[in-house]
Amino acid sequence: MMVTTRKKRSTTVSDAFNDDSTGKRAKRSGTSTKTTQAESVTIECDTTPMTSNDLHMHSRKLSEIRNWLSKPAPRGILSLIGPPGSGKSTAVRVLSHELKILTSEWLECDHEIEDDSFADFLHCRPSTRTGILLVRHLPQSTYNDLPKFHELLRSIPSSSSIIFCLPSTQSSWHLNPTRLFTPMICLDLGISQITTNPFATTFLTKAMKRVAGNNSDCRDAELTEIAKIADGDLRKALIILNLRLRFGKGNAYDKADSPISLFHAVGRIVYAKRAEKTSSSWKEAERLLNNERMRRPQPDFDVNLLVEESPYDSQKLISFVFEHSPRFTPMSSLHKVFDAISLSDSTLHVWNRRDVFDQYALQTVVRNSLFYNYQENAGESRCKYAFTNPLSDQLVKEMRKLVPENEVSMCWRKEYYTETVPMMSRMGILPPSMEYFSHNLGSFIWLKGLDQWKAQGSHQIVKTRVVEEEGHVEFDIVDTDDSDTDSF
Amino acid sequence: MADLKNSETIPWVEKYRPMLLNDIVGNEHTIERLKHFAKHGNVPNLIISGPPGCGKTTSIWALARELLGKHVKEACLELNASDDRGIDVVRNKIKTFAQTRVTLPAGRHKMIILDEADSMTEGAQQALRKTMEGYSKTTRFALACNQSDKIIEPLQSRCAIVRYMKLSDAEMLLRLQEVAAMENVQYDDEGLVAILFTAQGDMRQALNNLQCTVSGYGYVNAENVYKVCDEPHPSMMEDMFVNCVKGKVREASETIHLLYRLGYSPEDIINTMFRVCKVCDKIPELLKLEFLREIGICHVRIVEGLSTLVQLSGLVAKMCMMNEAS
Ligand SMILES: Nc1ncnc2c1ncn2[C@@H]1O[C@H](COP(=O)(O)OP(=O)(O)O)[C@@H](O)[C@H]1O
Ligand SMILES: [Mg+2]
Repeated sequence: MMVTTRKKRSTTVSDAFNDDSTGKRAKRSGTSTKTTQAESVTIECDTTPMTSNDLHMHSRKLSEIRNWLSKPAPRGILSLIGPPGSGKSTAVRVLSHELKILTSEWLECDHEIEDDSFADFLHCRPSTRTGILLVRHLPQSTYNDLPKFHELLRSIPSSSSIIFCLPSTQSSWHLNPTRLFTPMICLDLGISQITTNPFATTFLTKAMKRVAGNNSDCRDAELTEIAKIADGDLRKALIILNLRLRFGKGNAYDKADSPISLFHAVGRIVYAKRAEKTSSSWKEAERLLNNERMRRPQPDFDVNLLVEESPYDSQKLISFVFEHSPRFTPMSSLHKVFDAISLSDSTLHVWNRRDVFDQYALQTVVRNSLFYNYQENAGESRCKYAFTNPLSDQLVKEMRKLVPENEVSMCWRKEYYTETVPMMSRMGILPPSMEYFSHNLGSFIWLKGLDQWKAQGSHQIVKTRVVEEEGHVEFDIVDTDDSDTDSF
Repeated sequence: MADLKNSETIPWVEKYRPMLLNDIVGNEHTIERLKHFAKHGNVPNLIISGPPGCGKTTSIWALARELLGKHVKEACLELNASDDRGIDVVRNKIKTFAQTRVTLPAGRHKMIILDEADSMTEGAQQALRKTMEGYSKTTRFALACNQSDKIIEPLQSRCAIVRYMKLSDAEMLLRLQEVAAMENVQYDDEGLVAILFTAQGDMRQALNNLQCTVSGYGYVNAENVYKVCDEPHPSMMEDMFVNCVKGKVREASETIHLLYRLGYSPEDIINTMFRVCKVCDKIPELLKLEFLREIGICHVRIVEGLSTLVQLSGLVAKMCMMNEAS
């Protein structure tokens, strides 16, 4: 079924989703080629949820979306934002189908520049009173002219029901929908906000298990591994699972993508094992060092090989070293390691020449960590140690959970700063977002000095409550939960 | 110079570009995966990431050929970084291609290859997401890039990632020897080692350097290779580091001054320094890590515009101090 695209306003009615690439409709419309081999039926075909019972989503989120959809028209504007593959579009499609709500989706038209068609679309009332307009792709001009977009939002008549269903992008601030729908704008215009979160690993595993069915040879451990690679993204998990079911173990994903192999690389660095035997050329070189105490036996692995063949993002690898080093490195030399990390983070971080300078950063961090993490005969005393993802990832997730609805979150979103300050997200202490300061909407009253507040460390969660008073807004900062302080 | 035979003017990188997945050297596991794709069809959208010259473009085309057979001409479109790939191109050119009807066997799709996709603007990538969704029934995308994390997440979410590693020296050597034999190249072993050093795992560079040396000097030995590649000789650099370790600042500086006088730019010199330093086995571990750090810092300055002999001299002097200070 081709989507009809009229030149000016391009809408299709009802379930106009092409996202689930191999969805049911694709099968129904049957592109004539009868598939004979079982393997060429992609699994998503049979698993694209058609009823809300089959939806893989947190029941709380699901009911939030359902509640919004079930509101009597006009419902106003909803910004539904979440990472790719967190089930946003599918939820809207399935729920609006079940609730028999007519959906018109904006499908980009060809000439957007100086074109009002997007505005026309937002201003038009869907064909029946109860229907909704859906925007899943914003015109490019929106991102370039923010004030204009906000003006457009302001001009939308109150009789509308519109969903902006957009993927959050951490890699690009420019495209990030949170830049368009700031908490302030949403508050100001009464836009409802629902954010979906990445799926938990256990959740993805369960979802895949249902898809794979009982008659597959795919073990639970394997599913968990796929879930970890997918990193909260259900769409990605299903793509990998599909390959796994068709091509068997080992061909579905890259070994290097597996978290185990990343842990393995980090493990090598932080364990800093030295070889049993030291080659004579190594010994000869070490003899050239004046300070005898600083001579070392040969490492157990080739540093260049590990650094150059590492398919991991160097920032990620370094952040692992940063978080796990304190467990391994003697306290007396830890500062040397952190010094190297700090250098890699500041000086050696040249964004537009990353290909070159990432190598310097990695070399410096890995070699310093290896060198200073040296204790004679330390091998035996080191016990088993479980690697975890950097704490800050977890922290951000926790924060999202803690912030109650309708309270403006001052738990500065990762998106605001990861772009510009590379290791910032790993520091635990998050900077207040400049976004808030740049809005002249109100004054900030810090009940506690910023320095004191920072000193409380990474587990501090700060919430704010908005108090409207005489036309300006004040933020009242409330501390919660400071019991948990033993991080490292 | 006058009448070169036609075959001699073809760059070897093109002449010896493998046509089949089977002929691609290295990355066995990854190639194995692609072979499965080629055999069974129903390929997902792909992101192919890896360093330059490791065979990414080559293997996507090989995959396309094996998947599409005689249809490959009409059913496969490549856009690379030299093409204009702004938003409008993504909209129009790709759309037009995606809409063309081509009858393909079951489980086969039209393919759009976007080479060096990480150099596309974010806006163009965003537009691509829309196109990818819209034509998912008939068309698959293969995005080649150096770093997959430069592709925006909504695209990453829709693709299976296929990763390539830098080719090892052994793998490169294998291919170089094959090509050398087919072209009747006269070489010695040191010459090939020099090629490997200058190419740093980039097969395209290796083949180019080989061909240039042959056409410039006929015989491939280390000296000729470094002359052709216009790179400081690594053995000079190694001697310089040994002098740094021994604290002989005068001798170490001489090397740098000489290279500078010979016309190498500070960036060339520092690049060679880095490459030599990390593999040189005559530097004690502690000094090596400090050297690498200082070279990095100096390199940043050079990139920022302080491309002067003073910076290099400062670096050398600093390195000469380190053993004393250890
Ligand atoms: N793995 C390989 N096996 C054989 N030849 C290769 C390999 N990788 C690269 N080459 C050679 O190098 C040239 C460039 O390879 P290409 O696939 O364009 O690299 P890139 O990874 O940059 O796309 C090819 O023409 C081919 O001759
Ligand atoms: Mg290429």
